Amino acid sequence: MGRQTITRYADIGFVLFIVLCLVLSVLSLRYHGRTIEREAISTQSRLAEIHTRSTVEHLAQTITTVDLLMRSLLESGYAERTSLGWNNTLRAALINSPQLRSLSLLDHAGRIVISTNDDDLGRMPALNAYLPDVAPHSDLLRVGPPYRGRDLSDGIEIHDWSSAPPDIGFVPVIRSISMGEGARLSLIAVLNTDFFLNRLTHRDAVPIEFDIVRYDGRILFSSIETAHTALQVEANRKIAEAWRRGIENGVVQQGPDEGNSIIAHRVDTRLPVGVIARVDLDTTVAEARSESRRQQATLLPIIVVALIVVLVAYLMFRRIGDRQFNRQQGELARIGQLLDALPAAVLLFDGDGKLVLSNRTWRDTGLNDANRDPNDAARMSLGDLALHFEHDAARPELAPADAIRTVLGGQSTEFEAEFSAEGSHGMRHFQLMVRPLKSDSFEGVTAMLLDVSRRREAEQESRMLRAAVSAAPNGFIITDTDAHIEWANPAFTQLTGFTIDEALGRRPAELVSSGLQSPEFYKALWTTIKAGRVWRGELINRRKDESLYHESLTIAPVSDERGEIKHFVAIKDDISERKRLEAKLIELARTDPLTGLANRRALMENLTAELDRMRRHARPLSVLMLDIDFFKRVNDQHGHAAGDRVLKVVANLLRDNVRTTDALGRIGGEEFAIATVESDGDAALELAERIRTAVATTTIDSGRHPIRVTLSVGIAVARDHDTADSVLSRADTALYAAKAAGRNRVMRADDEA
Amino acid sequence: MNKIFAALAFCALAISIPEASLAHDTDQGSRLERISAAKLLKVCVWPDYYGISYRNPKSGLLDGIDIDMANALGADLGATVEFVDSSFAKLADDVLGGRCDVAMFAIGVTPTRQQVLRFTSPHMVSDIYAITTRSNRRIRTWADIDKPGVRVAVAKGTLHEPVMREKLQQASLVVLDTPHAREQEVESGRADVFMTDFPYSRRMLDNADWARLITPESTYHLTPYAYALAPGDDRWFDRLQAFVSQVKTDGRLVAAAERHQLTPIVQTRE
Repeated sequence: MGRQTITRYADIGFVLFIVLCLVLSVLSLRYHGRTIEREAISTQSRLAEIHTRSTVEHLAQTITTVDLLMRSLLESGYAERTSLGWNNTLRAALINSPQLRSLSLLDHAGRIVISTNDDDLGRMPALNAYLPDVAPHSDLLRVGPPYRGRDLSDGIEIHDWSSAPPDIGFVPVIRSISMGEGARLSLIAVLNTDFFLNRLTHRDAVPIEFDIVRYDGRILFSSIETAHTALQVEANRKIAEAWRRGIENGVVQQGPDEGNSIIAHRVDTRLPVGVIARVDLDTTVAEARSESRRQQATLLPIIVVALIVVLVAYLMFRRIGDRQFNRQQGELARIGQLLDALPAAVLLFDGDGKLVLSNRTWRDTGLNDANRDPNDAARMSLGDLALHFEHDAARPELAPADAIRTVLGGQSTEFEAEFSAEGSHGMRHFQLMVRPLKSDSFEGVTAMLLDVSRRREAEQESRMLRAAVSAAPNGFIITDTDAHIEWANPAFTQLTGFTIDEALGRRPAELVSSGLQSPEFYKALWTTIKAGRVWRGELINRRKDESLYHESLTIAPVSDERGEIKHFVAIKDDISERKRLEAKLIELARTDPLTGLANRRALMENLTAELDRMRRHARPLSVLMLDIDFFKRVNDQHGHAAGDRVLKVVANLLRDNVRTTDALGRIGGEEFAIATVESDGDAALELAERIRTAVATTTIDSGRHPIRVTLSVGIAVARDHDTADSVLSRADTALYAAKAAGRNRVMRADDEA
Repeated sequence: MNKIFAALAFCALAISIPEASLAHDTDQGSRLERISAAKLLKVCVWPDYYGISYRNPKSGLLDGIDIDMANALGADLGATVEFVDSSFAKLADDVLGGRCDVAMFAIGVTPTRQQVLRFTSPHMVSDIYAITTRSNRRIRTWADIDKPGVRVAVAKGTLHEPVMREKLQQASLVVLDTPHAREQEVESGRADVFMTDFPYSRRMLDNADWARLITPESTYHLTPYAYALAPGDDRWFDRLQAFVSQVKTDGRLVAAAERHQLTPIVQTRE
C-alpha cells in the first residue's frame, strides 16, 4: 500500500473520527437535554408538592388563628360586652391581622349588629353555603363560599370560576356560640384572600399556580388570574372527590388532553380547605429545553472549535509529515541514484529482514525473482536473498541465511563469503558482504553483492599459467623493478641449483653472476628493459656449485595498466651444450685436419690479431714461412701415406718448438707459417735454425723406409703498417730465396739483411 | 435665592403667625442662646420614618439621614441632642409648643405647613409613590389608582393627605392616623394603595414581601423636604440655614444620603 493511499485512508479516517465526535457530542447533548427535562419535571413535581404542603399549612394555621381569635372573642364577650365594647374589641383585633378584612358580629337572627366595617351593619349574609354543613351552633368553624368584592357589604358569591376571576375577593368564615335557649351569637371573619395570594406569588422560573379549594371542590381563590379552563375545573372536582374518598394528597401528571400539567394536591387534616398546585408541563419542559439549548449553545461551539483545532492540528502535522516524507523521499532518491551508480549490488534490509532499498546493479543481476516487480522491492526478504546462493554443505558456518541473521541479530558484526548463483547472465560468482546498519531511525543490515566472476576467471587463468610456467623446462623468475626475485619456478632451481626459498628476495646478480660479462653488458641490458623493451641475450653464469654455464636470457618488463613497469620476467635457458658444439665446429673450420694445426684461414686470423697486438703493445713480431724441401719426391717415392706421415711429423716438430703464444699453422700442401710474438729478426732466425736442425736430424719412420726431409725457412719481421698478407709475402719471398740458395737453409727477407 | 426665600418666609410669617408665638419667642430670646447655654438641642423626629428618622424596634435606636444631620447639628452647636418623638399630625403643635427646637424628619414643605412653620432650605426633594400588594389585581399602574372603588390610604397630617385629596377624582381616600395603619389597611385589603414618599417606599420594598411599588409615569408632585422650626427666631433660623448650606457643601449631607440610600433625592443645590 503506497503512502498516498495510507495518507488518504488516514484523512478519511480522521474526518470520520471528527464527524463521529460531532455526532456523539450532539447525541450526548440531546440525551443530556432529555435528562434535564426529566429532572426538571421531577424537580417541579417535588417543588409543587413542597409548596402545596407549606401552603396548606399556612392556610390552616392562619384560619385556625382566626378561629381561635373568634372563639376567644365570643367566649369572653358574649354575655356582658356592650356595643361599644364589641366595636373596640373587634377593631383592636384587626390591628396586625392582615389576614382579616373585617370582623362582624351576628345576632341570633343572623343580622350584622357590630362590624369593623360600618357598611356591613344591618346586613344578613347568606349562611347556607358554608362547610361543613352542620348545625350552626356546633363547635366548628365553617368556611364560606368565595366572594367577589372587598367585604360583605359589596360581596357577590362566586359560583363559576370559568369566567374571569375577581380582582378583589374574600372568603368568610363563621363561628357561633350558643347562648342558651336556642339563641346564638356568631362572628363572621372576612378572610383577606390577597393575604394568602401575596405569599403564593412566586417568582420561580417555572410558575406554580395555586387553587385554594374547599373540601367540596369549590375554588375559594386562585393565583390564576385568568378564567379557569373546563379541564382545570374538572381536574379540581376529581381531586376533591379523591379527597372525600380519603386520598388527601398526591402528585398527578396530566397528559396533554387533561391540561398537560403536574398537579400536586393536599387537603388539610381538619379544615375543609385544600390546595391544588399546577405546574405547566410545557413550561417546565420548555424551561428545561431552553436550559439545554443554552448548554448546547455554549458547548457545541466549544466542541466544534475544539474539533476544528484538532483537525487543523492534524492537517498541520500531516503537512509537516508530508514535507518530511518528501524530503526523505528526495534523500532516498539521491541515495538511490548514488547506489545505482555503484558497480556492486546493494540491498538494505530492515530489522524484520524485509528489503527496503535496492539499487540498479542488483536488479541487473537478475537474481531478483523474475515474477516480481523489481520496483516493488519491499516484497523481497532476506530469506529470499539467501535462497539464491548455493549452500556449501561442507561449510555450514557459511549458510547465508543463518549468517545474515546473526548479523541482523547483532551476534556478529559482519559476514562475508563468496557464492555462485544463477542469474540472468548465467552462473556468476558473487562476493556477498553483509554489515549491520544502525542509526537513530533505522536498524537493519546492508548486503552488498560484488560480481567477482571475472576475477575468478583471472585467478583461474593465473593458476593455469602458473602451472604451465612451473612445469616449463625453462627457468622463470619474476622480479620487482630492483630485480629482487619475487617468484621462481622449479626449472630455475634445476638450472642454478638455488632453491626458490633461497632465491626469493635476492637479486640474480648476487646468485649467479660469473663476472665474465662486462659492466657494459649489464648496463645495456638495464637500459633496454628499463625502456620497456624486451632484452634477449646470452651470458655465462655461475651455478650454486660454482660451475659455469651458458644461459640464454630473455627479460621482459611487465607494466601495469598505466604503463609503469612493475615487474620483470626473466626466462633462462641453459645453452652450454649448444655453445660447446658451436665451439667445436669453429675449431674444425680453423684446423688442418691432417696435422691438427691451424689452417691457412685460422693462421691469417691469428696473424692479423697478433699484428694488432704488436702494434698495440709495440712488441716485435716476426713471421716464419717454412716449406718442406722436395716434398713431391717423397710422395712420388714413398706414396701419399708416407707424405702425410712426413707432414704430421714435421708439424709435431714445429708444435714442439714454438711457444703457446705463438701462432702456428699449415698454410699450403707442405708449407707452414709461424707468427712468433715478441721476437725480433734474430730471435726468429734462432727459432728457424732450431726448427730446421730438428727436422733435418729427424728420421721419419714411414713404414718400409726411413725418410729424411729438410726445411727451407723465410723470415720477415713485421712492420707497423704490415697486414698479414704483406708480412707473409715478404717471408715467402725470403723462403723463395732460401730455396733458390740450395734449400735446407734459413733466409731473412732482403730489406732486413 | 436664599435671601429671597428668607424674605418671602418672613412676609408669610408676618401675616400668619399668631401674635402669641411671636411674643413668646421674643420674650425668651433666641433659642440659639438657650441651646448654647443648656448645651441641649431638642429635635423632633417621626420614629416611623424609615431612612429619615427610624427607630429600629429591635434595638430602640434611631437611624436615618436626619438623625445623622441632627447629630451633626448638635455637634456644631456643642450641644447634646435630645430626640423628641413626633409625627406629621403633631408636628405643628410640637414645634410651636416648644417641645423641640427644630423638627428634623424630612418635612415636606407645603403651603399649609408654611403658614405655621418656618422651613430651612430644602435638603431633599421627593415625588409621591404608591404601595400596593403584589396580589392586588386592580392596581397595575399609576393610572389604575384614581378609579372608582379604589381605596387610597394616606397618613393623617402628611403632605400626601392634602395632595391626594386634591388630586383624586374617583377613588376614595382613607385617612389614617394610627402608626402603620396605612400598611395594615393595604395588606388586609381594606385599602388598595397607600401614598408615600421615596424614603418610605424604600422601606416597604426592603421589608415587606407583599409590597409592590407603583411609581408615577411622570413627575406627579414634587415636594421639597426641609427642617421646620417655629417662625420668628431669625438668629436660630439663620444658624440652621447656615448649617444646612454647610452640610450641603462639606459633603456631610451627601455622605449621609449615601449611607441611607437616599442619594437619588438629596438636594445639594442652595
